[in-house]
Amino acid sequence: MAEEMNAPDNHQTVLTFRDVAMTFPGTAVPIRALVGVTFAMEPGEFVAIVGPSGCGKSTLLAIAAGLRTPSSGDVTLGGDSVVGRPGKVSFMPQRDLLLPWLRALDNAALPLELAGTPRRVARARAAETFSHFGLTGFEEHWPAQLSGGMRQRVALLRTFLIGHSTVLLDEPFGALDALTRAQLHLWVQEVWHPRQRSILLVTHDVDEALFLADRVLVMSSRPGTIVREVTSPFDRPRRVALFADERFARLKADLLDALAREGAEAPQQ
Amino acid sequence: MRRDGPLLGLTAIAAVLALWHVATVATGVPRWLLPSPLMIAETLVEQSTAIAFHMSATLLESLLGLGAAALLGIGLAIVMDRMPRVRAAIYPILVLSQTVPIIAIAPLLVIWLGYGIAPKIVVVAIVCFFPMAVSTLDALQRVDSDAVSLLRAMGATGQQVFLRVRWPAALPGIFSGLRIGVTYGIIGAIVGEWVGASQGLGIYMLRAVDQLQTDRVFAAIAVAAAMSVTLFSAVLWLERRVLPWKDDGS
Repeated sequence: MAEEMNAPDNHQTVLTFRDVAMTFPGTAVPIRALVGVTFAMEPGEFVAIVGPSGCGKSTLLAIAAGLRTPSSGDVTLGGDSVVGRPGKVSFMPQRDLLLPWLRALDNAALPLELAGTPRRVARARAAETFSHFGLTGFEEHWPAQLSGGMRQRVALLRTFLIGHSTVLLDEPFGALDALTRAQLHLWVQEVWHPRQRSILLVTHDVDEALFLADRVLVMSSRPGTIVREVTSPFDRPRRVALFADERFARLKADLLDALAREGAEAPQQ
Repeated sequence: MRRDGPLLGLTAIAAVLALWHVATVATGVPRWLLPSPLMIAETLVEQSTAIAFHMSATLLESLLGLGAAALLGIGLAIVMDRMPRVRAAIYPILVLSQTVPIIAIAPLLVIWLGYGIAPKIVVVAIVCFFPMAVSTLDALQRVDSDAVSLLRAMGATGQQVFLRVRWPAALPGIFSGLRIGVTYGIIGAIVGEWVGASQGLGIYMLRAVDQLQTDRVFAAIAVAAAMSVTLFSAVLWLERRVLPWKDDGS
């Protein structure tokens, strides 16, 4: 996969956050959700953001997805601003947002159909991936008939099928049981990351962040900003045994310590 | 769905009819004042040709009026949903229009549009328009904005967002509007006929009242009720076909 990561068009996938700030008009005082967020993703890099809840992680992803306009600052993809221009990256929001009127397979195939792929072809392509996600047999179910974990897997699969080379994932494994989560971690690492290259993952799970990412950014509590950066130096492909590695444990302790300090210093609003 | 629901309802109707029958027989009330259900049934059979002739007119007026109301109501709801200023301007007019008694408008429509089918269709359309527009608008306003955002993030066009999210989300509201509309529609057509017509259950009832043929009035009422129930069931059936995802479970 090394040569694929160094493909010449890779400079287009670089996602850059430049001094991004977001202030919401609150009921009494304006709420500063994000301030001075600056970082850049290398081509092919897997970056995870961890932070206390309510620190603006989801807002940051929505800005990068082109859905929200920051109060100041800019987010660029391959040099072009994505602010107010949705449709450039693959985005998975925290809610699964499956459309209740589409069967599981049609929900997964939706991005292909929106891009003009005929329904039959789109469904066939989505069906190929269903087994990797433990969803075989549930293709024709309505979302209301699926468990929370299954819905989340359909949403993850749908995001994969969007197919952009930059991927934004907001808590994609939150509703899953430990075993399914471990399986999908491996799938993301072995199938998705090499193929679609740049992934920005928001999570509250430090283990997950260290296991999947090349770099973990710690966000402060509101107003959110990047306060710490930890490199996860482990060779790929990573195996579950990594969780028992001494260096892994040290980095994890380091991150948890940084997070705990952030939580303690949270300004009460 | 509970299975004993319709059975209980039918039993209650049968009980009321039985009580009615016993009461009319026991008190010996004259036929022109209050006929028994059995007499009404006899009249229904006897008059079946005439009633079928009048019923077909009422049905046609109802369906055409309802169709017009659905097209206009859904169309206006879509415009109002997309344009908040239009919504703010039009909503009060919509509500005001509902306070005008239709029985006062109906004779005016006869003056303007004549004795043909046109004024009846307009009456039905006026009566059905409001529930169609309001329930469609309600459903459109409650569309999950996160789902709309998600489709935009996938690069969907405005038209794709409408066809994939807004329209399917509005359909349950459109169907509840239709359910109300079909029951109003028959009443609307009868009111329209009442003020001047040559054919229809309304004019049939009016003539029967003039001649104290009370049993015929009741027979026409029974037919009108049966039409409403049939149309209502047809909408329910259609709704289940169009919205299979609403039936969760099996």
